[in-house]
Amino acid sequence: MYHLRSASRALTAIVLLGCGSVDGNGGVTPPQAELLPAEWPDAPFPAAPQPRSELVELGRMLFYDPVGSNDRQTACATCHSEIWGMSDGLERSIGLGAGLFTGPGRAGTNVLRRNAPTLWNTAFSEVLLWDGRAASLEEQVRLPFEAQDELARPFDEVVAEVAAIPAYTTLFAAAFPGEEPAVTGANYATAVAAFERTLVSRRGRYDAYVAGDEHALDAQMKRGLFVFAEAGCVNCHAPPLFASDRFANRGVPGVTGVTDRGRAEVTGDEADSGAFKVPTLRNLQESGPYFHTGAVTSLAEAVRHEVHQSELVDGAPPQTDEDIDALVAFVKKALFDRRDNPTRPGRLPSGLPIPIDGIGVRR
Amino acid sequence: MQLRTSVLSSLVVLSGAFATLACSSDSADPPPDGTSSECTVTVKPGDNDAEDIQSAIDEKIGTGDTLCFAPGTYELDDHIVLGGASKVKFVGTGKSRDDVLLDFSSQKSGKEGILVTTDDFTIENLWVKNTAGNGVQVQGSTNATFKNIKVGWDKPSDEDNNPLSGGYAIYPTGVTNAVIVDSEMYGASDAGLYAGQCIGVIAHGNKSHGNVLGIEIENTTGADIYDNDVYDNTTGFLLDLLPNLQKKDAKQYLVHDNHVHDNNHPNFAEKNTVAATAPKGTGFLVLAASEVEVTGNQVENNEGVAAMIVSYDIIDILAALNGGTPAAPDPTTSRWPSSIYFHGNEYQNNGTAPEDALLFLAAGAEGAKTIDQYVLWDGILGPDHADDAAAKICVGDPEKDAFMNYHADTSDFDYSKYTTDTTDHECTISVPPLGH
Repeated sequence: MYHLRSASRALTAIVLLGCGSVDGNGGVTPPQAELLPAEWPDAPFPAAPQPRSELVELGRMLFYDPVGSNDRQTACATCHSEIWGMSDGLERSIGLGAGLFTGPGRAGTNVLRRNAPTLWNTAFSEVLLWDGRAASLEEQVRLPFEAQDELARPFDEVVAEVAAIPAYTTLFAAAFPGEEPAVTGANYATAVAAFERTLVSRRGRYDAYVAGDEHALDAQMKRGLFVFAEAGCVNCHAPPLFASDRFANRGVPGVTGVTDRGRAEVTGDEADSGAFKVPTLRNLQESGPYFHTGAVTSLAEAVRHEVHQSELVDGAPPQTDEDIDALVAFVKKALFDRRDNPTRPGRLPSGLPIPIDGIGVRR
Repeated sequence: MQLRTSVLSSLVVLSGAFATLACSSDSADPPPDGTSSECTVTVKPGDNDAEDIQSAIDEKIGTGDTLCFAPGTYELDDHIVLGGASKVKFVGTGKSRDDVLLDFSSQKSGKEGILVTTDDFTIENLWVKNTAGNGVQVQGSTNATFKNIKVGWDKPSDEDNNPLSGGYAIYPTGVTNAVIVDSEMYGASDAGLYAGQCIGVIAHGNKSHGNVLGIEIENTTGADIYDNDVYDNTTGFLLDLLPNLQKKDAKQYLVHDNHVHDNNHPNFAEKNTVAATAPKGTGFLVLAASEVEVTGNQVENNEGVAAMIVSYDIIDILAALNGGTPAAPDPTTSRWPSSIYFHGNEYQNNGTAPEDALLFLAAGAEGAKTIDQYVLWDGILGPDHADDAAAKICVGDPEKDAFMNYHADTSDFDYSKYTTDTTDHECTISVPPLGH
């Protein structure tokens, strides 16, 4: 649980950073160590073993392999693609029965209720999915198999099939040495989760700036950083993750014909109705469209919505168009780092065709 | 009845499946001076209580540790969150739970007083009051024990019965193995004890009063609820399955040997919630759940009706009558109760002054302004029920002589056509107590 207090501390730090202090030469003094944002959290690895390369490699194969789906064409990567910011570029994801093509051109009848959340930095989160119903990646991995509109195949059945594929038994044996049997549901989930934990975005311009490189941000981005604190964004999108394990109702209209109570579906508390998990802003420019409905296409429009909500609901000070532009520049450019973007396998242990990504048209 | 309870308690305590309960039952009472050797850290009331307590948790409490609260009144302006360490205990070190008061009257942030998301958590011997939202919430963990605590609000509502209190006092949700013992919950604008989407709930020896719902067990699998004193609520018990939640079933509830009385409090729930539809004066409301056995309870002085078994259709109707909107349809959650068994309960002086929606039923009972039957069923069948018998709405002694099917599906609000024949209802089911 990312505690509110941590966010408050970070707020203090970031405001100090944003204001900076001007030295005699007109440059901004690099921030002092004690004013830096909260430490980058240690990634929780609840399920030993620690990720080894064999484990991550196995997880990568399972992630891209449609072997787990009822139609043999749908994989984790269908809705979480490295080409679309570890999301899918769709307003709401489309599950089973929509073919091998993924990305914004994908069409099918199994339209899910929500926008696919990005997998960037899920390693640092203790609540996952828009409603927070999963507490770990290992737990989350199993959910799409059980969902009839996603992969629609009993997880045990998937594990049994994988156990019968020699190329996989070799990979599992390497990833879980000494375990007999090595191909188990728990190990399947462990491997996929280990792969997902390699998706870390932490080396953007912002990170260089707080590490002392005053030139990492240009004047507009620095302005944006200040606005980010002043407008209250930091209270929920707490650095360094620019996320928190909290839930908020930000007045995003629902989709006609779709019942979605958000967090209340997990807590049973009416007060949580319409509240959704605070997403990370890291690599945001690639993971649109935005919000749980995917109704907002542009990042700038999403930022404007949030600033407006903060004014309206939280009593944050109003921002000028110029300041909002600066904020957009900060979020878009300073928090962007996809050095750990995963590599798509050339062929899969199951021999099945890999989902074909990047229809090549960005809307 | 008493024999059954004590045997049950022993079984529960002995069971390895509920190790937390066994541990907490075995531990000696903490000494009153706040210096228990079992305390990893002891906090004392000061000028900045919320921050002091949170810092103690964040910086000093690790897995297996105990945070002790020295006697006194703590004034908290922020919630307390435990999200890292597991196997943690929060323990008040006073002679009684009243000696350690966590007063959240000045709370400014957080939607609950105490929020815990880690496994094997125990909270005992203290009093939490006037939280801004819910009282003590444990979310999504395995093994949560609430022992000898008091959670409530001084002023639950205004003169017009608008809520001033939080929704839930003791609030385990998504918990596997929740144990709530010897505690008191009062003044909640929804439920005093709300266990939602849990697997395994044991609650006994508790007092729940002055809430809209005394005890609510919702979308849960496995509940053993006994020896509780449930009074002065709008509705004593709500045993329910609600749509549009993650967990899609509610079953295997055993509710026995409770004292369910004087639940005649005006409803002060937030508008357009399910709690707002709870009829004043109700002992038991069974809503769309299945495999529910209710036995050995003493049910008295509930002015509306002793027990009602209803489908979700009724809640939609009541919501509409209250000016609200029916819930969105959820085809994956059943709307109809089945396999419900009321038997061997004692009833006295219930149904003497039904109000609001219950008056429809009272009017049906031969023009009387009372509801003399103990157990009422709305008679609405689900698609899996070929006939009344298939629904397995079962009544034993003495309920079979005081049963009403008011045929809500066909009566068009004319409940004079109600029937009392129990030919299709003389079945039985058995819900095993937990711990077996």
